[in-house]
Amino acid sequence: MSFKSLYICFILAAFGCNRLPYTAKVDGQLNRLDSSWTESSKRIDALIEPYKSQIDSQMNIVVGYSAEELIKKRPESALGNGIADMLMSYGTDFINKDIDLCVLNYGGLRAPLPEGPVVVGRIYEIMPFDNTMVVITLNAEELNALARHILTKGGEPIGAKGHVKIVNYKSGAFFDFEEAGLNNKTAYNILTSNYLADGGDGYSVFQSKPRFDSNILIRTALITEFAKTSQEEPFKAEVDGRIIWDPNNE
Amino acid sequence: MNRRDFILHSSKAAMGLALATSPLVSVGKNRSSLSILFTNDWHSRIEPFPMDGGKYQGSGGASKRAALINKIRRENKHVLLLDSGDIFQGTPYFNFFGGKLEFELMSQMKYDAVTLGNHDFDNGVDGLVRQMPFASFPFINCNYDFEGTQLDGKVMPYKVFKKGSTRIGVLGVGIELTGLVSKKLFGNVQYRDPIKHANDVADHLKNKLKCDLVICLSHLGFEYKTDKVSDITFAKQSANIDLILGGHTHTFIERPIEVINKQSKVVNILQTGWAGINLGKIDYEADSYFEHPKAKNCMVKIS
Repeated sequence: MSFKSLYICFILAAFGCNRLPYTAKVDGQLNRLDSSWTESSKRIDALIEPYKSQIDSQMNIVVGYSAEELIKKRPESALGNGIADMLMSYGTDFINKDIDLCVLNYGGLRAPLPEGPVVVGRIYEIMPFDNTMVVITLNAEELNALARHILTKGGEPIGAKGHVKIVNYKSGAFFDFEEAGLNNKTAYNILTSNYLADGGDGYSVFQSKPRFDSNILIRTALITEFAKTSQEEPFKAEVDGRIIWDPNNE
Repeated sequence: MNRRDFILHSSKAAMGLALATSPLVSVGKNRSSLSILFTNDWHSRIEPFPMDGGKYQGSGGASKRAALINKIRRENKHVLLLDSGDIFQGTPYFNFFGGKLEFELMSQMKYDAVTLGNHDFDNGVDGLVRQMPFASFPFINCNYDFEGTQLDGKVMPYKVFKKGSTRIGVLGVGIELTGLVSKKLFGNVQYRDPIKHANDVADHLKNKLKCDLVICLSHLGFEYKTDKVSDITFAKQSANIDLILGGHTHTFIERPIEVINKQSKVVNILQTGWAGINLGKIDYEADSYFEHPKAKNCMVKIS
């Protein structure tokens, strides 16, 4: 700032001009501490240590392997698809063999999946919430409302028995189960979290509907499913067209 | 009193000292006067992100943050350390110990005040209350009504801090919990209009309690595509607030955002991202010509 402009600022400020909020400018900068920042606090380390040793023995157990690093994205991502598929697999094995669809929320996946070994601690980071699996039954009309909500949110992790997609047609947004041969059912069983089943994240469509509470943690399902993977057959997932947004139909 | 008045007030006081220094300034070569340090959404990230090739590997961690805070405290005795909520949830430390360690660490780092985020209710009102004895700092919020809950009397609407001759009022606002947190968890905590309540408290802080600087800790979120209340809409409709330290949306605001409030004054908004990757730092220091305090924001990346 030049001396002249400072002078003007000072005069304006002194005479109480409302347009000038304050005389000194607000300056911003980013001070980055790179890897050379090695200072730590011994007192803090000492405070953490007893807690850390309690959880490390459990958290560092390698539970499975991932073929690549996966990061959540909208409208659809390999991470979201893969996790929804894992819950479908677990849910149909252990909760109800007639689950048609799994719906999770994008915001509920809290960390990426790394390439290589996946430790228990990472499963906790991806799914830190103690959310449990719930099966909600919706009729066909309610299912359309669910499809609209998922598209309104910009896409959410979904999985199904066979391939499913949500498409915004000119006439509205619908689930399309055609490839799985499930298009004309009167009722659909949807596996979701207790958080969404309670109406969280705008999912009022799930509220006050027929509901079965498994009381099994989502994390338990993920650990069980990851345990099926190995270094030779790591976890793989891909984007395969589950959420189709056609701007021409908007 | 607004920010301009704060500066004028300070400079007038300084002129009383024959144009020596502003009252905020420690005499000597070090012109730094008041440092506001802050975090938001640190989500139980006790240790740095693991070295697994991820985007934030090696970043954050309470120990490095504490060392940096200590370093700043050695350089400047006038420091205020604040947090905008979502201290809880995100690593097994929370699942196993319910937030006790988070509060113990923040007490050790000498946090001055925090506000509540939605995830701080993840173990219910009783889960939060159970950890409060481990916190040596106050919890601040003015738009939740806690009457009839276990939190009644445990959260204050504001607190005034005195650093040198400067009075700093800190208030807090929280996000609507319905839809974000299960009703079973937040119970009878009632959400009320954050803008109205913040403006009432800020008016009290500036005009009755004569605070030179009013800071609002906010867990409303930076900005939304919908008309949901955010720090941007809040700032525009606010009065008597100089600085909003935000949270919830995990937004990395590397330079302070300026918004004009309803008094046509500038409000600065900042947010540090999340997980303790950054320690936000705002310095109010003297201008070299007229000895006016100057706000300078530095986001310090802990990597």
